[in-house]
Amino acid sequence: MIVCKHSVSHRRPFRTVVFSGLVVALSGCALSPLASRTAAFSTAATATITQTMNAYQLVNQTYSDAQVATLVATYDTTPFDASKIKTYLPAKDLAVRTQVLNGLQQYATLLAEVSGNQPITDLETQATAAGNSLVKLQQDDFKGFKIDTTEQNLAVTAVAAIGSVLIEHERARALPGILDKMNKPIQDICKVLQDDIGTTDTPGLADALHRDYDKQIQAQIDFIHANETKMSADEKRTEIETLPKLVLAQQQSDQALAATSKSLAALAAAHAALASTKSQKDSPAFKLKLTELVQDAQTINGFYTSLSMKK
Amino acid sequence: MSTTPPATPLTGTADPKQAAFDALKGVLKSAQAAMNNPANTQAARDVARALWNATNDQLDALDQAVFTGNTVQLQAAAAAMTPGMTQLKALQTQISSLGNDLKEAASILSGIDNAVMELGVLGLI
Repeated sequence: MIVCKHSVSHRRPFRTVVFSGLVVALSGCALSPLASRTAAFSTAATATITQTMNAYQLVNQTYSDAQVATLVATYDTTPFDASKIKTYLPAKDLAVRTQVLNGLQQYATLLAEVSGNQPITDLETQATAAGNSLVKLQQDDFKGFKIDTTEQNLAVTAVAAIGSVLIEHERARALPGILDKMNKPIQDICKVLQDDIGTTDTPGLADALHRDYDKQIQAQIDFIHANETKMSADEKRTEIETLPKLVLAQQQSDQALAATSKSLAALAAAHAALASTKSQKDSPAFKLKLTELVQDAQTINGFYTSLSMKK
Repeated sequence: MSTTPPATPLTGTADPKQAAFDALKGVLKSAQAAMNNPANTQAARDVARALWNATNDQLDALDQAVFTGNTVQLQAAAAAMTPGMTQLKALQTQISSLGNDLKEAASILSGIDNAVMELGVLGLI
């Protein structure tokens, strides 16, 4: 291959200008406002999904604790019946919740993967690899392909920038439709999961949990009354001290379930805001909903962590 | 000319589950008060305890019925996620294929590089 040195020396500044122009033209296109919002949403959603699973576990565990406490309190007067020992939430119904929450998690993860920086980072890695291969081609007869480090960096950046624009184009084309399509199921799922929980004044898991603590408190009172004549002063004090601890745990559990329900409502609201602001550059409404969601999720996380540490 | 009578407002539309729940909670509260009242005879307290246990069982069943009753709705909502999820997975595949195309380009360039080196070793270039 014959390459004119004169033409090579003129081609280099041209390439530099072209690459620089591409970089300038395409920079700033890396992550659209919608993509950043979907990435932020999926991060916050993950926390809510985890805490909802924790709520079901808490209800089942507390029901089991109440069964044990009642058994201990009534053992001398009521024969032990193994058939009465069972989990509160039916396994097949709980499996559906697990499946649905895993589906939501998968949606949140996919949204994060598609919307986040990772595809662009991957693209930059590939572009760098391609740039390194270009630099290796430095044999004399391939002078036409020879590029210096500055050109290589510019080429890599330009290729990555083109790739970013292509990725962003694909996102902008497909994401709004997907968000629209997912909005109703997400609203429905969050509503049903909220209905599962209810409040301490309506039928649902919050009431069941509250009464399971009532049962434990009553069983503890019964245990103290039945055995107080046989207890030392210290033993009696220890048993009595359990009562306020149970009341406190009841209050915290009530709050945890209420916060989980609130967080599910915030998740639905944040997704609705995400879907309705898909074509807007900035979205204060979405940011507000997301802030509420993050705050709720953090609050619940604190509750469940403190409860699990006490177990 | 016939006239349509004005619509009568509906009354008594309260959720029957909520009504049963409220009634049971009332019974539970009074039963608990009676079983823990030291002024009552042991027999009266035993009766109150039996009532408290039975009411708790009924409330457990009611709370559980909400949970199990919601399962079908939840399955339907989850099924409605499928088309959106399929589109999202397709988008992910499309985006990752852009990176793969560049990877392919890089491997072709590496291949050319290796070929040039081998030709150089053989003294052909």
